[in-house]
Amino acid sequence: MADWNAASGPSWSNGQSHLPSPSPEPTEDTFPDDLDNERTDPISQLVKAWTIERCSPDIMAFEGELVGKIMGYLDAQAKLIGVLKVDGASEEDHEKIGLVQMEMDRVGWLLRSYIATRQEKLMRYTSYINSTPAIQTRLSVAEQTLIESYQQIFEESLIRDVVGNLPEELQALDEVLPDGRSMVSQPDLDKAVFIRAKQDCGPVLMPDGSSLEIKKRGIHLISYRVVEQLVLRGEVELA
Amino acid sequence: MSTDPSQALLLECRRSTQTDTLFPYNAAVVTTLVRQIHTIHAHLVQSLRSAAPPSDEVMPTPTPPPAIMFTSTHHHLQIRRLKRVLLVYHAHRLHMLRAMLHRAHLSVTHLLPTIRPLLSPSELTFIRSYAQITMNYRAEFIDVLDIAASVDEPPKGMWVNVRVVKEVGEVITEGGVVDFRKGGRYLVRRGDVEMLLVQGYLEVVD
Repeated sequence: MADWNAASGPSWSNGQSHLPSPSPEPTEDTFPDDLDNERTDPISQLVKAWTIERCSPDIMAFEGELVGKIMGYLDAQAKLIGVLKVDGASEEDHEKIGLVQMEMDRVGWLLRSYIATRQEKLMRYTSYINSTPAIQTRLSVAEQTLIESYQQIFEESLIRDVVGNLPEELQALDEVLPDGRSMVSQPDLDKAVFIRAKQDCGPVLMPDGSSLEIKKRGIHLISYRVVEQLVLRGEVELA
Repeated sequence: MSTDPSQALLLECRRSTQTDTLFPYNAAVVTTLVRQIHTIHAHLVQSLRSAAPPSDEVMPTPTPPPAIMFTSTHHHLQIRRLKRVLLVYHAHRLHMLRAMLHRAHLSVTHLLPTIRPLLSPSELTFIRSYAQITMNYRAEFIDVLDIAASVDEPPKGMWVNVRVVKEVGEVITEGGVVDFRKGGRYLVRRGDVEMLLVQGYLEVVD
């Protein structure tokens, strides 16, 4: 129990303000950071996965193993508390139990928020995901089942209220117009995101043809599409 | 104020977003728009037919005369816009319903009585099926974690001060039995009263 409490620390207690402070040209060692000794315990990883999921316009890969670990942790803690309570704990133990319960509430909230963030994206881009196998591999099995049924009921409703009443050749729900716009909403990969480089990444090619050097600790506001590969490889983090 | 009925639907979506309220289903305008699409579509088909040469003749020109081209393009764009407006309106409502269900902690029985008169029959079916499929998804986690609980605010502490708005009676909590009397104030564990808060029996006092 003690390890977990020590490890989770205050790193996500300010979970809502996840914009970095504006410092365009950070110099070495001007502020302490954890770039070189990254935390690898499950809760820190969950914080990271949650941040990336919330900041990225795209659907990221589901962290199945990590979620499993966290669920296991919550379950074990709950059982332990159950046992301790039955055994008639002392005053001091009660206080400790309280702290552990609070920790569980917080980790639980984080996990719920992670799941809810994904669910929101899944629902918004259902039709796109269901027709793009590459994205489907990023989903858990339960998520896939969820959005398959969701697409069905969503379209059923639209068919009954709208397109089912239109002339036959106007009933499509997945038309692509001649100018390239599609009826199917897709994640906007050109959306601007804040990134912080965890290492020197070398120059990236900007849409206008120029190139930008991304240095370690550099903070940039940049189109997601430009840095997508760096994010997936974990060389920069979204913030 | 525009007299274009499709504009009215868009305006409704906008107001509904701004005020975060679900408006009654506007069946009258929806029917009008569907009829409009049918009328324009009939015109379109007719004008194209009149332009097409009789089938036994060899086509003299590959493109129809400019007048026909213009009319049909115009009709086509009108239809496309109306269809889009209809879909936007309905999709907006379904998204809104979804959000409302999540705010009601996935409890469709709790949500329905208040919004039922606002829904079209197919929206009613939608929200019921949606509750069902999210319940199935929730079952993946339910042993350890209830994903139906609110994620609006991270928990600040274990305890929460509540006031009883509607008489509840005795509730068994982890810490023992609490007798919630109307008007009373209690300091309880948030997890124990989450459901009562959502159902409006209790409210948080800061």
